[in-house]
Amino acid sequence: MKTRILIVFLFMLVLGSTILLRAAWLQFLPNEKLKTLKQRQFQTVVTLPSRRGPVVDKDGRDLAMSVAAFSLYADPKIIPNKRHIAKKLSKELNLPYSFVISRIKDPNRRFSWIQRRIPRAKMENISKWKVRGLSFVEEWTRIYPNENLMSQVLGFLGSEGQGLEGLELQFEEELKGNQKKVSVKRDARGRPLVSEGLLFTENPEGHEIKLTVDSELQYQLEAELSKAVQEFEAVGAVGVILDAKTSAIRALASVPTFDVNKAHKVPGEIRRNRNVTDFFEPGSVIKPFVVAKAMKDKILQPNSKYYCENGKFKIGDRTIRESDSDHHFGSITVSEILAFSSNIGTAKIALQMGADKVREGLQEFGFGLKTGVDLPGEVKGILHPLPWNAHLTATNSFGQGMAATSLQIANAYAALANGGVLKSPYIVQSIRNVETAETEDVEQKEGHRVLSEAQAESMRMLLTAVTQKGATGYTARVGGFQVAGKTGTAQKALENGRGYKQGAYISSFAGMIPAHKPEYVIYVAVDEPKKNYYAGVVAAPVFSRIASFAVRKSGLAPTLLASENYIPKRLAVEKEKPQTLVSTEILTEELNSQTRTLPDLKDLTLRQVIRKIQGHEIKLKTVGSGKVIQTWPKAGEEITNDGTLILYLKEE
Amino acid sequence: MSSNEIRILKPVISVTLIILTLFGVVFLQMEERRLGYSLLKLTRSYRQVLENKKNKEILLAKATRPQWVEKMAASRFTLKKADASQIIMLSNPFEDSEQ
Repeated sequence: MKTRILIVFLFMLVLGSTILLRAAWLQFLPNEKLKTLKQRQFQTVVTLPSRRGPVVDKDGRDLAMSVAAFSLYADPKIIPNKRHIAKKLSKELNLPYSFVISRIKDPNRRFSWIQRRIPRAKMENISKWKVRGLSFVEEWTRIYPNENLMSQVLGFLGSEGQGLEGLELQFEEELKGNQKKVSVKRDARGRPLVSEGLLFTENPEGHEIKLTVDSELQYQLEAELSKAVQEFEAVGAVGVILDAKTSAIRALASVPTFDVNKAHKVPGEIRRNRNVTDFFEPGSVIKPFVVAKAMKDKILQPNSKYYCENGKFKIGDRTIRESDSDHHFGSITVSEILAFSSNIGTAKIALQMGADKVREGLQEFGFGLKTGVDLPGEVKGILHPLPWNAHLTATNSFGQGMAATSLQIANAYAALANGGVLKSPYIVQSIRNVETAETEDVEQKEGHRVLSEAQAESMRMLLTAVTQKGATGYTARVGGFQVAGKTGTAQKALENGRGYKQGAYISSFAGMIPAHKPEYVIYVAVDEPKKNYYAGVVAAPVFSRIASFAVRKSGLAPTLLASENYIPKRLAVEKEKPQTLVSTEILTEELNSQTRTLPDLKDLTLRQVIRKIQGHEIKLKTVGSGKVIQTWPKAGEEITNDGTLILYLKEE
Repeated sequence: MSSNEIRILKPVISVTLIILTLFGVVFLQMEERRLGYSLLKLTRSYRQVLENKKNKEILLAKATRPQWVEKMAASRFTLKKADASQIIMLSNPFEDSEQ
């Protein structure tokens, strides 16, 4: 018995040892053939496509983002019952039957896209059919939640998810991110195994681009431009809003706009970001830069007078006229030249300066050069090389014979607004690595001084004359704020550059608000308005509405016009005076601030009362709504020390 | 049980222990695989949740876009844009300190 047990044990031991040895042999000794076989059978490489980084505005509002979508492809060779499947697919995907069947009917093909980037719900429906030969690939689709907003600036993607235009193209490297490849074990059904599963929780993601743009300002700009295009039956319009201190782009619009989610269905000329890609003869908005250069070179002073030839100025065999045929000026000051937009006056200043100085001045303000903005496709405009004849010198001084982009014009005005430094406009504020949460602010270029602070201030003062009563830009005024700016009504040059298009104008207004301490520089240009073409009628009111929204949105308090002045000495004197803000027409009686006696407020609206008590330390309380029927204290009584005034209101 | 019998059974016990250990290893490997599948399933659910979150963010962005807010204000709440004449200008109480 004992011997038998021993024999069986030894047999088992030998057998087991042999198996173990063989296993150890296979497991531990290198064997290339087995290694390849194992890798093919149990290893798989999973590619995790990178989610394209989002684009957000200055307040973090999403402008472009990516979500998962599924692309359906077919292996036509193995698809059964092709006609039936094609019918089902065309119904589910809203595709023509002929298109679907053409994709799956060829039995020799092994791969064919049916539709790219379909939503998850549709993918799940189709997956339930369990049709052999239909499969999905997970991809990303780009969503622009604001649809038409900033369409030309944001740009769009191609079918392979690559940036084709706008910021999507300019920041392709930062936005696209890097796809991740992970080698994992898989089971017989190809499913990834064990803890490597953790790697699939999140896809790699491209960087987040934060813009300097304010979505609400952008919307307002686009809405106002669209309204102007509709009202004046114009071909289009462009607009730029810059931060006056830094040249950061707060809004950049080109109308007509389009839904960026459907960019491929829109013609190329609408997709173009015309603020940087298109140049045009800007007209009179150029005049301040000629004057600024002349002032810088001490050729003139704001009160220097120029004889404007009563509306006709002959240079050789050509005649220069005022833009408004009713204008027949004699001797007028530089301030009036700008206020009434005198072509002859500016031409005379330019001729006094000489062509080289005029060209130098325009170039100092960035004309004929790229601004260096971080947007693709920027052009530098046209500023002809010297020598210029007298006529070209004269026409260049009022913005004809040269060409600029709307961004160049706005940026040149920003130099006047910020105290004389020409900076590069920029639209990207920072770039954030979503995975590490590190944020890198985009470094801005220094800029160079083109005017002294005093000269820039003088220029702003001269430009406020443009918005005074009787001047060309009166309609650009904004209640409660001083506006400095310049109108421009330019004839539109023919595309071949020879001559001008009959009856076609570009009406524009460039300005800054508030004039004494600019926060915003705004430029608007309406292309070929048909009902009227004068900038004072077409572009200046658009400027006014946009500027009004901008200052109120940013919480700037309105200023009594008389209390602000550019000359500090006068400012000090003005500040000593007691100030009231309201127009006198609605005031029947002023509050006596010495005795604090309450006037009769009966039958006034709340708004009228607020205007009346403006500037006095009164705590107002209201009961009801409508017009005042009673007050506490009563009319003629003194207001208490704590300044409380209660109004009892009643609807009529 | 005599010490002799124990001595005879020792190899059997050893082999049994080895077999049990091997079974244990196999069991643990199966458990690891089962957990791996559960993990994969959870990962997919997690990703689904992330995508849902992203979709909700898109809906939020669409619902708060300025043109939509303006449309809703006009159609649902019958609000109108303020006319320039309706704007009351109050002077800046901090004007002196700002300058």
